[in-house]
Amino acid sequence: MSVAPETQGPIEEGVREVIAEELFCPPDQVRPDTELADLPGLDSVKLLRIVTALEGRYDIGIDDERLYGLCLVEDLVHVVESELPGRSPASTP
Amino acid sequence: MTDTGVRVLRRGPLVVSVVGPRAWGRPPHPEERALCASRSPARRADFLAGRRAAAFCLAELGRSGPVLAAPDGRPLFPSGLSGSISHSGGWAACAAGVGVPAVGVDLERRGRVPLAGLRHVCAPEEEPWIRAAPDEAEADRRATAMFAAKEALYKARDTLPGPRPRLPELRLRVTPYGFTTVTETAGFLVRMDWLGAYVLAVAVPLTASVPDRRTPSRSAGRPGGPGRLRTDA
Repeated sequence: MSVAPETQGPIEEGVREVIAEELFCPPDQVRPDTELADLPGLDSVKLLRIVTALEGRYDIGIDDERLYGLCLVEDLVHVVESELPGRSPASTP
Repeated sequence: MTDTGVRVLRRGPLVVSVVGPRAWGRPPHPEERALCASRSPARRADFLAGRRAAAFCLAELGRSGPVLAAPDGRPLFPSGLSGSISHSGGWAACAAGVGVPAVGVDLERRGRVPLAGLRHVCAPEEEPWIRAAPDEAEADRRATAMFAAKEALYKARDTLPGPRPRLPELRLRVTPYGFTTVTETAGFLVRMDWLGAYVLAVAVPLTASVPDRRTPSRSAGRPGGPGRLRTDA
């Protein structure tokens, strides 16, 4: 995965923030290596809400095929990064 | 229903139970307790609520537990039984039956399915049915019903051979009682019940000729799910 250092931080931070807001938990509980299934209260509909919020926040459309198989928070970060303008699919995991 | 409530419903060969967050129930089976201890703390309450709901179904069927879990998290019911578990906001639901090749259950609270995210749930021809609702409350009702129906159907199909379709690929037709699938060789019926702020969806095959696959392997399909999360066990 090649992500420009200047953008990696803000997007990761934004994804963690959206997750924390949806789950009503502190952002520091949402680490990149946290398994999504271990996040407090996360279920399918909350993940749908998170994905929809991320699409609105970054003005992107996430291919839902890529949502099947997400494991870690950082997987979701990578999906968002790869959907941003100027990111080629070849740079995604 | 209050949060101490328990509701057990008969649906033909199926028993369906819904339990509140503080509902009375038998203590978990020792093997279930051990399994629970291996779960992350965030998941233990859901796990126990789901097993409590399952215990009511098993008792109604004259059977006993434990209900264990496959490596992928899918609940494993005792031999000869098909079953499925769902939880939402501390509530849990279980559907279980004898002689039923597959079953899926989903419990959802109204007001949570974002209309902006419908393309992750609906086939192109399904979304207009939700958008055409006369007001926001009805649109939310339809969106919640559609999401719950597809989740239940996804779980029911999860126990059968073949690839796992994405939610938009699970095409549904609205009926007076819920939904039926279209474009499937072996169709499914998804029955809906409204329980206060919650909707309960139970999916079963329309015929008993659907091939059975009660093994814990998920090798034939996706590892997760829409993000389908394995939180039902």
